[in-house]
Amino acid sequence: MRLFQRSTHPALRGHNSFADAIIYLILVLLTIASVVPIVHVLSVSFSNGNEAAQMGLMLWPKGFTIDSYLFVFKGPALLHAYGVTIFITVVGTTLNLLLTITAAYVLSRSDLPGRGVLTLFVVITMIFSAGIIPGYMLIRNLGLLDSVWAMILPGAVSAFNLILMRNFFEELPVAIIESARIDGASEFRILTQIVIPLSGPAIATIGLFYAVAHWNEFFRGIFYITDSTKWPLQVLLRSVVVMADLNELGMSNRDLYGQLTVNQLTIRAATVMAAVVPIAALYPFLQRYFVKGIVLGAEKG
Amino acid sequence: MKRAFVFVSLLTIAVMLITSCAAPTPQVVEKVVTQVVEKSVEKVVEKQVVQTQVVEKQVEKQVVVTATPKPLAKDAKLSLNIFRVGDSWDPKNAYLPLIEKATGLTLFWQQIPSANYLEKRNVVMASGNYPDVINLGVAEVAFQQYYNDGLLLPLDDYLKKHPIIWNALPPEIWEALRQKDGKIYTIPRMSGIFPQTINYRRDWADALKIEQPKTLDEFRAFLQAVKDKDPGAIGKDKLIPFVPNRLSGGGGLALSWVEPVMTAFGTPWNAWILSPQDPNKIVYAATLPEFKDALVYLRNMMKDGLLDQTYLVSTERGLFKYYAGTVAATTDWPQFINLRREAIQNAYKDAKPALNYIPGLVGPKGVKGGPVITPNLRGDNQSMSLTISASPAQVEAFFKMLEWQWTDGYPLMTMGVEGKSFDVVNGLPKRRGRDAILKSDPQYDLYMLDRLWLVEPPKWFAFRPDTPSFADIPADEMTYVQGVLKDTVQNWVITSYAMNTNDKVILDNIADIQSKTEEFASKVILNPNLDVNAEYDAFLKALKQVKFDEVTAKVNELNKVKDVQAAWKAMQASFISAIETK
Amino acid sequence: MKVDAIPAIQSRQTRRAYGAISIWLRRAWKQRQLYLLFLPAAIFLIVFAYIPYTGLVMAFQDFSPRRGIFGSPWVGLEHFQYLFGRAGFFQILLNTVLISLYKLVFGMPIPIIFALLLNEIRWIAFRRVSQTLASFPHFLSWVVYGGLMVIFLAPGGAFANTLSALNLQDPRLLSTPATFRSVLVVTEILKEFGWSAIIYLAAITAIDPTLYEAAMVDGANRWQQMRHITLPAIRGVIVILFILHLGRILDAGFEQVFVMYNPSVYSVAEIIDTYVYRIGLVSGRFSLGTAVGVFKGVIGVILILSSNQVLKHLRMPTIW
Repeated sequence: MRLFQRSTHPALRGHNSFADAIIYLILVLLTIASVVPIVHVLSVSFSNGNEAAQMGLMLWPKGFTIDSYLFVFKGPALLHAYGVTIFITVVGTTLNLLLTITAAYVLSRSDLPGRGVLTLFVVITMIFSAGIIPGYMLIRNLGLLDSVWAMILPGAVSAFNLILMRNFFEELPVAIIESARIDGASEFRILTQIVIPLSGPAIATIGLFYAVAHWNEFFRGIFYITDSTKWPLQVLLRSVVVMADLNELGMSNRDLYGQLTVNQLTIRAATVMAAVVPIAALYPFLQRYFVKGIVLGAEKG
Repeated sequence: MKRAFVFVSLLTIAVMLITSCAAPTPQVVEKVVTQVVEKSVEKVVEKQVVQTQVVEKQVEKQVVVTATPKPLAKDAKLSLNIFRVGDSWDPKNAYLPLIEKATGLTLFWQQIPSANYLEKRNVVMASGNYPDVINLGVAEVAFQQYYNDGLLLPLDDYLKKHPIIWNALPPEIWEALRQKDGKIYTIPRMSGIFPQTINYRRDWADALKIEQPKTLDEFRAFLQAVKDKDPGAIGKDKLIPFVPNRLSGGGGLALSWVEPVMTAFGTPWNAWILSPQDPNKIVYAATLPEFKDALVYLRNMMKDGLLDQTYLVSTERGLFKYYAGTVAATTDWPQFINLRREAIQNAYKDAKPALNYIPGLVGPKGVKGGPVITPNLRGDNQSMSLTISASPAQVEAFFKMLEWQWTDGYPLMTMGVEGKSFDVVNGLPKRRGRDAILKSDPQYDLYMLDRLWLVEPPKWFAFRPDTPSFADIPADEMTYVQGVLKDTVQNWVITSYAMNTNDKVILDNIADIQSKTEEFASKVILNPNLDVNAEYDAFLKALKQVKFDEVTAKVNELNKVKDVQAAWKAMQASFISAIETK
Repeated sequence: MKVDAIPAIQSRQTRRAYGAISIWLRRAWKQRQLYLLFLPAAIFLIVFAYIPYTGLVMAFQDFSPRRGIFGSPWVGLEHFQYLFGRAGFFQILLNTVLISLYKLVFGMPIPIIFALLLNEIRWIAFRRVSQTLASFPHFLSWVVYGGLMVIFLAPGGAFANTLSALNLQDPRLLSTPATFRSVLVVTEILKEFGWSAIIYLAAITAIDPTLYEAAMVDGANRWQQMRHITLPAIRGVIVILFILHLGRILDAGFEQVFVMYNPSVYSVAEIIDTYVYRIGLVSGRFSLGTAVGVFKGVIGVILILSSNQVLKHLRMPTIW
C-alpha cells in the first residue's frame, strides 16, 4: 500500500474538496485529542523522576532516562507474566471465537424454533452477574483455583459480543444460505464455508474485543490466582507499583527503585506502556480484515 | 451432519478434559512422588541419597505451589496458611526457606497487592475456605462482621502461655482489644507514634531571616514571604508554598492531613472531642462553629496562592511534590527526615536543605493546636487475626513462630544474611543498600523480609539508632527528631474519645457522617464565593438525616471520658520509653 | 356425529394442542444440527453463569460463611430495605441513572460520526492512522486517563492556564456540582470514541459497494448516499448497542467516577458502586453486596425488555 494511495470505493468518487477539508480538519483534531494522553504517559516514562513530579502535562521527556524501563523489566518475573498473558489471550480468544461464532450463527437463523428463548438465555447472563463470591466458590469447586484456566474459561462466552456477532450474521444475504441448504449442505458446512468467509470484519472485530479483554484482565487474576509465578501481566504490573504508605517505613527512592532518577510517577508510566503497547499494536494489523469478503463478489457471477 | 456432531462432541470432551487436568490433584502427585521414591529404592546408596533429595525437592515444590492446601498426611510438617498484604512479592526469595527451616513449619504465603486486599479477603472469607492467619485490624468494619459471624479464634489462652508476647505491650492496649465477650482476637501491630507535624524548609526560613513559626499567623507570614521572595530560586510557576502530605484519597484522607491548621482552631478532622462547654460530653468536632473558621482559613490560603491549588482534587501525592524540592512546607511525620532531605538534595544538587518540624501552632483564639498522633491505640490494619480454620496445633505454631521472630529470629528478620544483605562494619552490623543487594544477590532483597513478618514487635518501630529502619539517620538529625517526638508525645491532642464504637447505630452511620463532613469541608475550601454559614446550616441538617443525634448519644454512652483519658495516658508513658536515646 | 358434545370439543382442543406441539417438535427436530452447534456455548454459559446464580439467594439471607448457603437464615427483602432506606440513596440512584443516560445519549453519536467521517475520506493511510491512534485511549485504564484529565482540568493546570491567558476565569469544572457530570461524560467520550467506532466501521465495510454505484447513477450526492445507504445499514448495530447499554444503566462507570470525583461533588457524582465501596458498605457483609448486584440486574432486565418492545413498535431491528 503506497503512502498516498486513494481508495477506489465507488462511493468516494468525485467529492468536493471543501467538505473534504472540513472533514480532514475534524478528524485531525479528534486524533490529536486522543493521542495527547498517550504521548504524555510515554514522555513521563522516559523522564527523570523529579522533572516529572514538577511538571503537569508533558509532551516530551525531560531529563531523558530509560531507568524506569530497566526497573520494570528487571528480573524474569515480568517476561514470564507476558508469557502467561499471551497464552491466555491466544487460547482464550480462540475458544471465544469458536463458541461465539457457532452460537451466534444459530441465533441468527430466523427459522429456528425457540430462538427467542435461547436469546433470552444468553442476554440474561450479560445483565445479571452473580457477583464475585459465588464465582469464586464455583472456581474453587471446579478445582481451577490458581490455574491459568480460571482466567480463560469463565469469560469464554460474552453475551454482548455474541449478540453483536449475531447481528452481523443476520445481515448476510439469506439467499446464499438458503440455496446451500437446498443443495443439502449441513449447517456445519454452511457455517464454515459460507458464513465465516463472508464475515471477515465481524470476526476480526469481535476477536479484537475478546483479545483486548483477555489482555487487560485483572480482577480474575487477583481473585483466582495466588501463585505469583502464574500472574498475568496486569496483576504483576500493579503490584510493582508499590503503595506509598508501605514504603514510607524506612525506604528512600534509592532503596525502593535502586536509583534516584526514577520515582513512582515514572515507574507507573513505564508499567502502563509495557502493558499497552503490545496489545494496541494488534488493531492496526487487523485493519486489513476490514474489507468485504471476496467470495460474495465471485458468486454474483 | 456427522461432521458437526463429531466436531461438537470433540469440543465438549476437550473442554472437560482440560478443566479436569487443570489442577494437579493430590492423588496424581502422590503417584508421581511414590514412583520416584520406588525407583530410588532400587538404586545404589550414593545414588539413593541424591534421589531422595530430588524427591524432597519435588515434594517441596508441589507443596509451595498449591494455594489452598489439601489436608496433609499425619506425619507431614505442620503448615500455616497466611493471607496478608504484600506488594512486589518474590516467591523465590532466599529468606522463606530459612524461616521454614528455623521454625520447622511449612508456610503458605498469600501475598495480595494492597489495592485489592480488602476485596480479596472478603471473597476468601465468604467462600468458607478460610486461611489460617489473616491481616485484620480491630478498627476495621470487617472485623466486627467476621467476629459476629464467629469466624475468628480467641487467643487469650495462648497469650497466657507466651509471656514474651504478652509483656511486649502494656496491659491497657490488650484491654482495648477485648471484644464483647471479653476475649482478645488479634495480635496488634503497634507501628509506633507518627505525629503529624509541619515539615518546613529551615534553610529557606534562615535565608529570609524568619524564626520557626509558633502561631498560625507566623506560619502564614512565612509562606507569604517564600511566595514573594522565592529564596530557593525555584521559579514562580513551580514554587508552591504549602502542600499537604496528601491531596486526595478516600475517607477524607486529604482533609486529615492539615491537622496543624484544624487543631489550631480546636477542631481536629473527623474527631470526637470534649465539648468546650461541658468537659464531660463528647461531641463531633465538625459541628462546632470553630470548624467553619478553620475551613475559611484554608479557603483563604488557597485563594491567596499559599495552599496547593489542586488540594482535594488532584490524584497526585502531595509528599512527592515536596520531594521535588519546590515546596516550602508540608505536613509529615518526623521520623523520615533523612529520606525527605535526600530526595530534595537529589532534585536540587546545589541546595542545602535543612528540614525542621513544627509540632503545633497556636491558633488565632489562642488555642494550642497539634500535634496529632495518627495511628489508633489498637493496632493498625496489618494486625493479625486467626480464623477458625486453624487447628489448636496451628495456633500454637503461630505463636511459637511469632515468638521466634521477636527473639531468636530477630537478627534474621531485621538484618538478613551476613555477606548477602548486611556486613559487619567496625563490629556493628550494617545493612546494604537495596540497589547493591539487587545487583549482586536479588533473592536476598531485604524488602521481602517486610513481607515475612507475622506481626512486627513494637521495638521494630522504636525511633532509635539501633533500629535498622532508622540506622541511616545522622546522629544530629536523630537527636533532633527524638526531641521533636518527645515534645509531641507530651503535648499531643486527643482526637478520638470514641474509642469504643461497637454498636449497630454507630457502625451503620459513622461512614455517612464522615461523608457529609467531607462534602461540607471540600465545598467550602474549594469555592471562594460560597456562603459558609448557609452551607454550615445545610450540613447540620444533613447530619440529622443520618441519625447523628443517636450516634452522638451512643458514643457518649459507650465511652467514659475518664477511662479514655487514662488509656491515652498509659500510651504516653510507653511511647516515651520507646524514644529513649541509647 | 358425536353423541357427547362437550368431550368432543375438549378432545378437539387437546388434539389441537398436541398437534401444535408435535408440529413444533418436528420443526425443532429438523433443525437439530443448529441446536447441536449451540450446545458448547450453552454448556459454558450454564456452568459459569447460571450455576453461580444459585449464589444470588445470599441476597435474601443473612449469609454466614460458617453456615453456608443452605444453612443461613432467610430474611427476605431486608437487605434491599436497608439499602433503599439509607439516607440519600434516592439521590445516588438518580446520579447513577442520569450519568449513564447522559453518557448513552451524548456518547453514542460521536463514534458513529467518527466512523462516517472516516468512511468519507479517500486517503487510506490517513484513515488507518487516524483509526489506530483514536483507539489508543481505550487501552489506558481510568486510573491513568482519569488522573491525567484531573491534572489537566485542575486549578493551575493547562486548562486553567489557557483560560487565564485569554483573560477568562477558571470555571473550576472539577469542583462545581453543575459542571462535574459533563466532565465525566466528555472525558468518557474522548477516551472511548475511537474504540467504539470499530464496530461501526466493521458494519460499514460490509455494505455492498454496488448500492453506492446505483445511487450515484440515480444522481444522489454524498450526503444523500449517507442518509439512504450508510445509515440504514448500520441502524441495526446502533439499536442493538443502545439496548444493550441500556441494560447496564446502573453501571455508570465505577473506576472513572472513583478516580475523578472529590467530596465537593458527591451530591451529583456519587453512584451506587462508588458509594457502596467508599462507605465500606459491603466489607464483610456478603449478603448486602449480593443484594446490590441483584438490584442492578433486575433493573437491567426490565430496561432491556421494555426498550426492546418499544423499539420493536417503532419497527427497528431489535434483539428479539
